[in-house]
Amino acid sequence: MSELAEPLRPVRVVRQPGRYAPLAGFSCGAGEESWDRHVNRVAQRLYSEQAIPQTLAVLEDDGGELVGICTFWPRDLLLPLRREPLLEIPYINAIGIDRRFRGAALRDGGRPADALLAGVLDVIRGMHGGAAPHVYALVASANERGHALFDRHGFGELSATKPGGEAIRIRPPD
Amino acid sequence: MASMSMHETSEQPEAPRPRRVITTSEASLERLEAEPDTVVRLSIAQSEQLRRIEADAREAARALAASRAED
Repeated sequence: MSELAEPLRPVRVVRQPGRYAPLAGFSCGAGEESWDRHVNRVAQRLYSEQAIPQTLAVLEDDGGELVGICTFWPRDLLLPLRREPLLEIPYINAIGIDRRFRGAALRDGGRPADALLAGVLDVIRGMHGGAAPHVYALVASANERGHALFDRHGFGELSATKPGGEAIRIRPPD
Repeated sequence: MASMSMHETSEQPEAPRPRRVITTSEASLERLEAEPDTVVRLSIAQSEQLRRIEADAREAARALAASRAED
């Protein structure tokens, strides 16, 4: 594991992922898990400019090393029971910490993934006039680390409708 | 008098393409990325879960505000 240079920089949006060189070497693991492969694939596609349009937010340490990435874009969610649809709410497509910093502890006792997700929520607040709307993500049932992360940041869980499927993790508006 | 080209006379505004709606059991990380315009529809049970999540969050915010007011 590499050492993190603290303090971490505030999470920021990268406007031109294809020109953000640290993305080329980003990997959150050797790809043992499907969700890690997904994040790696998203990073590669963004760097090669083959990804669909999405916002890339990055967490870097004090030395500028890329610690983690998160991507999201606005997406609709339809609700039954005569409720209004949730329109254009941020859907988190990928979130991951580079394998070099997996398991790292921050000086304040936190984890890099927490700093990343908290920073992403701040970015989203900035895009929505200071208050986050609903935010959601899909998380594989077996991805315990992912579920624990979303638990710690106020995301509730909508059960997967098929065994072993992906659950929706959704955070109510601020 | 100016004449109109064939292109100009046949041009029609494009109708918005209807978006595909899928259930959450059909949704996956890969599919949502491959089909960014696809819309996910929650089940009735999931919608009820969301209602409870929202109510819990409101209650927690109220409790936090009350404890701050006491301080």
